[in-house]
Amino acid sequence: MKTDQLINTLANDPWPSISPAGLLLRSLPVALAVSAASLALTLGFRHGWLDAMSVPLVALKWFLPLFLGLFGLAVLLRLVRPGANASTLRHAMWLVPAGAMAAMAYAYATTPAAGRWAAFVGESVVPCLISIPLLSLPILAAILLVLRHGAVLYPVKAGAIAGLTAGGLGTAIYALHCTEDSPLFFTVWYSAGIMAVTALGAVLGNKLLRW
Amino acid sequence: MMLDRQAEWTKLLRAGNAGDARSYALFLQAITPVLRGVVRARGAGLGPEEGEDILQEVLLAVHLKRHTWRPQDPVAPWLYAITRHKVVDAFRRRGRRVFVPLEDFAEVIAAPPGVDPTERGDMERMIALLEPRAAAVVRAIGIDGESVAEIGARLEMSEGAVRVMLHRGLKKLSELRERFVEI
Repeated sequence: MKTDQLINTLANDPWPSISPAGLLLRSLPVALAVSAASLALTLGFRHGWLDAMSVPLVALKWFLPLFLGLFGLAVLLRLVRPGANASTLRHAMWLVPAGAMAAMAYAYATTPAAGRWAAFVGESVVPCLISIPLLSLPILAAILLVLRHGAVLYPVKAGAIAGLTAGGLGTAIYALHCTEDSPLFFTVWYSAGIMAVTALGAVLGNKLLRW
Repeated sequence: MMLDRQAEWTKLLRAGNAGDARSYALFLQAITPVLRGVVRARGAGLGPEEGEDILQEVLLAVHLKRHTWRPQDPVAPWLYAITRHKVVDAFRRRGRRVFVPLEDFAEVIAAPPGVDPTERGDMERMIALLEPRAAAVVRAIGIDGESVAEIGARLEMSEGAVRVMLHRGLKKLSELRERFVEI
């Protein structure tokens, strides 16, 4: 086929109806609803969640992962567009781990030495480490779908950021259930769960995001 | 002059995005010599035929990812990023490493087709691997220049079905190219 003929063929294929951002707006709410419903049907939501959130240090366990997810979505919506500049936003994501470190340091300083170990191990490390990746999976799937529709230039990096984002949002959902309120617990174990999803995202990105 | 050219691309692609297939075809025609220039500048020692294969690969990629461009953005940085990505990729799969500078199209000299805008082998071989009806649709439009309506009438398909077949065929072609050259 000559190049002119190829051009003529391509021009007969109508413009796709949906942009990556449009697809995200459709797929992400579904995924979030699936995750939230799974949590509601299994572990259930925490009683008095709003009251708990009125303590700023406790509210962080919801806001930090939520911000991580929102930052991540903003970065990803740029990564799907070749030539768009995502680096400023990508660097701004480091604010979230920095905030987590600060919260942990503050909690370490203000928790009496005798209570630190108990606060750190809490009572639900295992459910936390299992639930966060599971609740993040539907979200990761929705995001990878969007990235495939888009055009990412660095599949592993984009996959990792997809995992980080899905992990953040999945954790924000898990935090609707979790009653461990010390930053010594949640900054560590939430981060561990999110890192697992990040690693999974990088592996899947490598396989699914080439074009 | 360079900026005029890029503003013209943006105008054409914007019209294409709004549904004007004619403007979209003009856009593809306008960028083709420039993309050929990029491929040729990188592909010293590459025959004009193989260069044209890579050019077609880039065009197909630009086409299949055209919805990742937003009408409010200029076309050139987007187009250059895709081109660079696909050219590096195409050369890598052919066992060569090339360096495509990060900047933009400013340095590129538009290249006319070499020898008779050759019948390109790669694309032809890929089309043969499509399922028969998709291959028939792609050939009818590309090579025989039939309209979608004519093909629909001849193959007893609705125009919508012909377009879906075409779209799937083009996506499949791009996937096949990925795998084919790797083997």
